[in-house]
Amino acid sequence: MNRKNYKKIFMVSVLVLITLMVMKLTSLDRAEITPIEKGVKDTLAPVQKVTMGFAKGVQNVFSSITTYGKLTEENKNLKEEIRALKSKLNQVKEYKIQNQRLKQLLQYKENTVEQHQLLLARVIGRDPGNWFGTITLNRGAEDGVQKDMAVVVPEGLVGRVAVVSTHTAEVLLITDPRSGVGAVVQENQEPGVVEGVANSTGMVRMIHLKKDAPVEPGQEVISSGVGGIYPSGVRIGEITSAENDPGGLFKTAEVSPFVNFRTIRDVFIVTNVYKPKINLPLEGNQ
Amino acid sequence: MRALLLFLITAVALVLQATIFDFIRIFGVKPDLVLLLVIFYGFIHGSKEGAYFGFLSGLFIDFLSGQYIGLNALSKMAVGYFVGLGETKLYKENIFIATIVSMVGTVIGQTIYYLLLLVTGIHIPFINGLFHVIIPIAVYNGIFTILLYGRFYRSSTRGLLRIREM
Repeated sequence: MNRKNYKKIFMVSVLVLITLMVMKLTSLDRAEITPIEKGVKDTLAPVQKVTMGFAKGVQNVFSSITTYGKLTEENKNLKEEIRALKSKLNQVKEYKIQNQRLKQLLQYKENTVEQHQLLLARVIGRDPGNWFGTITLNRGAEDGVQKDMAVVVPEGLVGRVAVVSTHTAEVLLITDPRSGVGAVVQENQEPGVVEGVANSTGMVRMIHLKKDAPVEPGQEVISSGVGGIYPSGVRIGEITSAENDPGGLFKTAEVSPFVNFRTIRDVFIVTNVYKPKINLPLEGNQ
Repeated sequence: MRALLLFLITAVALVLQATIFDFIRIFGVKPDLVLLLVIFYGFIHGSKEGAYFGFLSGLFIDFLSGQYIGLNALSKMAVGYFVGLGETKLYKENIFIATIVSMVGTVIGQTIYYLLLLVTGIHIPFINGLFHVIIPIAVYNGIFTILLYGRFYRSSTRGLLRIREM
């Protein structure tokens, strides 16, 4: 091997080392992103909105393709009329679904408004990869969104805000392997931590359960509020199986989340949690 | 012109992955189209070019996501390099060989990605990673190779993506 080759190997090693260091430095835990990154995120938001709309269009086309054949003029006209009606019907269906969805959200908002202050946001982008699970929302610092706010839908817990730019917010889903949620099994109040596996599995795991905890399939898991980020009592998922860790002191349970993360389009950001006032029966505290 | 075109293709692939492919997942995963581009490019033009394109396209993805900058750059650079080793040894015009190369390249790339996740402190059970992410993506990428490789190969040897001799 000649000198030139050594030099090349040295340069590549330096490049790899520098990249590894940058990778460690730019982990999700840092407090704020750089202005350049903020700029990129805000500039991309409208593009993402348009492509997301286009993607929905493609999906609609797939689902509403009707059959045509070589027919007489009259038949053709009739078919066209049917097609027009069908597309109108589809539109009505879409409105109906939207109406149901919004009604459901409104009802949820009414039910929980006493404890949580909620901000409605729309999903405008998703992580392009398979390992991580993040979504981008159309609300940002301008709307009062801050890092570590919880994100929910009527079905249950979605995740927490990880990165905020002026007009967008990136949400770390509970299915992301970097996510950890303090949780309890609702039936017996056994505490544990719900963490993501790889996003594409669509599953989460409840770890750090006591080895002798009476955990069974079918039980529901809710957030405990421990850790301070997620409000307590939000539904997470249903236990599908549980087994002891190999050689460990703990038990791990597989949990199937209530939220279908692939189809969510509107979410609530919890901007404020009202703490209940507890009046202790002390003297002078009538 | 060639660099601009490659950049545009990468950007389009990325946007498609973040939007449309989220609706058409197979076994829960979406294809890694940028990795597929790196594999095609490295396989046709060799290790050096492959590593170079892998690093730059990976860095582009990392900058967009804004976290763990270098994760995609390093894994895709390695894939571009490894796949490029087959440039002079394998028959590049055969779509069957290209499909095998794509699938093996995807497995290598995603495994390196998994190992880098461990380095940064993100632990995912290996069985889950292998059966729910790595292998499904390799299959999905294999399908896309059959659909796209011929076009890419023709463009790289005779069309707009051809490297002009100096």
